[in-house]
Amino acid sequence: MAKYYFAPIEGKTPKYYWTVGILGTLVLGWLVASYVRFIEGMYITGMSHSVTWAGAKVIFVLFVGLSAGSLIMSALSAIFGQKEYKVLGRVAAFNAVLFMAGALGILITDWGRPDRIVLPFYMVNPRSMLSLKAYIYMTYIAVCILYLWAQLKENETWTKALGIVAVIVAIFVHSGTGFIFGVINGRDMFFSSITPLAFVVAALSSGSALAMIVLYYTFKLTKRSIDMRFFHQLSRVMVGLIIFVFYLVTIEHLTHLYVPEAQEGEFYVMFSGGFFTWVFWGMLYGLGLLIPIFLLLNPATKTKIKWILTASALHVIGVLAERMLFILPGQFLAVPIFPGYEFTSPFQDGVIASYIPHMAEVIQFVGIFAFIAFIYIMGLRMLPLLPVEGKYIKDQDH
Amino acid sequence: MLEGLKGEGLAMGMDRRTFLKLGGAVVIGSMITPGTQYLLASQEEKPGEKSKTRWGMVVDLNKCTGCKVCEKVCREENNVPFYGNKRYDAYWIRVANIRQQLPGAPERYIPLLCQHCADAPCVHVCVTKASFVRKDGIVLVDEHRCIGCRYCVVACPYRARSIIFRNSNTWTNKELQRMMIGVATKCTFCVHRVDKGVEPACVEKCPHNALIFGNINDPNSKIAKIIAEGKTQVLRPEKLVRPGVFYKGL
Repeated sequence: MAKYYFAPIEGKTPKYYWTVGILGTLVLGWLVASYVRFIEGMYITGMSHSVTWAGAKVIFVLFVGLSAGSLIMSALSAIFGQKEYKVLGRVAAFNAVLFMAGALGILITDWGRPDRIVLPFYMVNPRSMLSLKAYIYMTYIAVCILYLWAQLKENETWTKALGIVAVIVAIFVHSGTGFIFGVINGRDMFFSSITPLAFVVAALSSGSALAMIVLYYTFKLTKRSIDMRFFHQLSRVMVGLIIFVFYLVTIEHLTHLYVPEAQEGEFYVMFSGGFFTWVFWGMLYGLGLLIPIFLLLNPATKTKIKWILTASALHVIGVLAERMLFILPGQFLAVPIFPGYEFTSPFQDGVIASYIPHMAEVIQFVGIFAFIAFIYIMGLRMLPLLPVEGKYIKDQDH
Repeated sequence: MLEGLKGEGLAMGMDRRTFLKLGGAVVIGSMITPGTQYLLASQEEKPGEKSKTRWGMVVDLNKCTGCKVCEKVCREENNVPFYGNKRYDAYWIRVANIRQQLPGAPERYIPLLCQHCADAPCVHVCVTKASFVRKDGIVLVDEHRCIGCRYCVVACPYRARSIIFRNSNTWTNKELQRMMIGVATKCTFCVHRVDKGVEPACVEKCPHNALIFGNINDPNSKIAKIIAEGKTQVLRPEKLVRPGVFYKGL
């Protein structure tokens, strides 16, 4: 097996500058929208007292998952020494840092008081999962950067050692994100011990899916060749993970359907939720789980790169749907303070809430995606992340 | 130590590096000092059977007529903002209408406020310890420490918390500050009045005497005697949060 040589990309084409410019504008939009939101107050968002964790939290959870997933994929390849995966290692580790940065960016600009950013670091409340996260996330980012550095220095021993540490920390990080919701006793749709596991597995599957997409298009757009066996092998792993996600999601929803506490919420999601019912059946089960499983198991499509990439993209959308279904309808249903009573108040008690993101939030959401893409393409130009030449084995069916 | 360093440095003529170091130490020090203060304050003993005082409230639903005077006086007393938008109006106490889902059941009124739980979920989840339970059982939010992450709003089983969504001009009670934007707020049992020995505003102004405030750990108090009669109940007892607000006649 040939050794790969890594180098930064040139990045001097007009296309590159245009991309940087457009993404930079969107990032600026994110900063401006966040500032306006902080000064004006949260009323310019679509949130209400019933739905206080909204779109930004969905994106936060998705990003933490993508970060943990791509880091674990990168580190496992380093640990088990698969040569084909070496091309992935650096880009995936870099992506892990970026997605975590993006997750923290959207989390902090979602706060009512982002100016108090230092407070969580010295006011740690050990009983609060989110409070412990201040240090867990910092540890995670530090480990990610060290791991990337070891790879850039081509230090095999350190890469392996830090890879193992990174996998453990990443699992911790994303289980912890699941715990943030799973420990909320007051909300029956959140309170569950399966959430951390479901989050980690969905993180792995969506992380590897996204790693494949990013890698393929990065290589294609920079006119590099890539070993197709890498995609074939990773897609085998991924289909197993998607089936596991399918299983976990199904048992969670079935549990909700069979216990009275969450039944009303589950009925809302499955049958009467309008948009969210479409998200549940169409986006999560159809596009996100069943079609990718079919595409990756069907002998006619499982070896073709375009179908592998389609399945990956659909699965990332499905995981986004899963996060959305978890966080939003979990707050929509009225808190049953008086079961067996009709219950109304000026504070919108007993009403099924709704949430539509407003302009400021949409700019924030687009901006945070642009932020990640922006740093990614800047990183490609500054750091030796991509191999100069990959050993190319032609895809037989391609 | 810091004093000495400062004096010496000034006397000997500080070089740039020392100055920067010292500056850093001062900045970090000033960041940590108020923090440790709060840390110690929040480690007070938990309200329980042993503590001498635990403030609580009994709401007598047989007397409540739904006149909403409590909502009004609460706004005036605590500067709780009202914007006229259902989506983000803040409420510290709200009068809800309930009707049992039985044929012919009458509509009834129930004032809902922070239940001042001894095991408050909002305090457990607070990221910066801005929420805390006082020794006397009152759950408070330090507005200056709250980062507005809204975890407490999600965690509260009673929806007792309001986020201040918008700048507020409501400043009817100059004794207190105006509401700060972007933070979580909630009923304080009018802690500024209770500490002076006065009842909360809603209790004092209720025209029907439906609200009774007092020390539930003092067996001779009026409120403890009502609870001892065994006709009161707490809301959502299955959540095991040990509320300090009791409802009579639900």
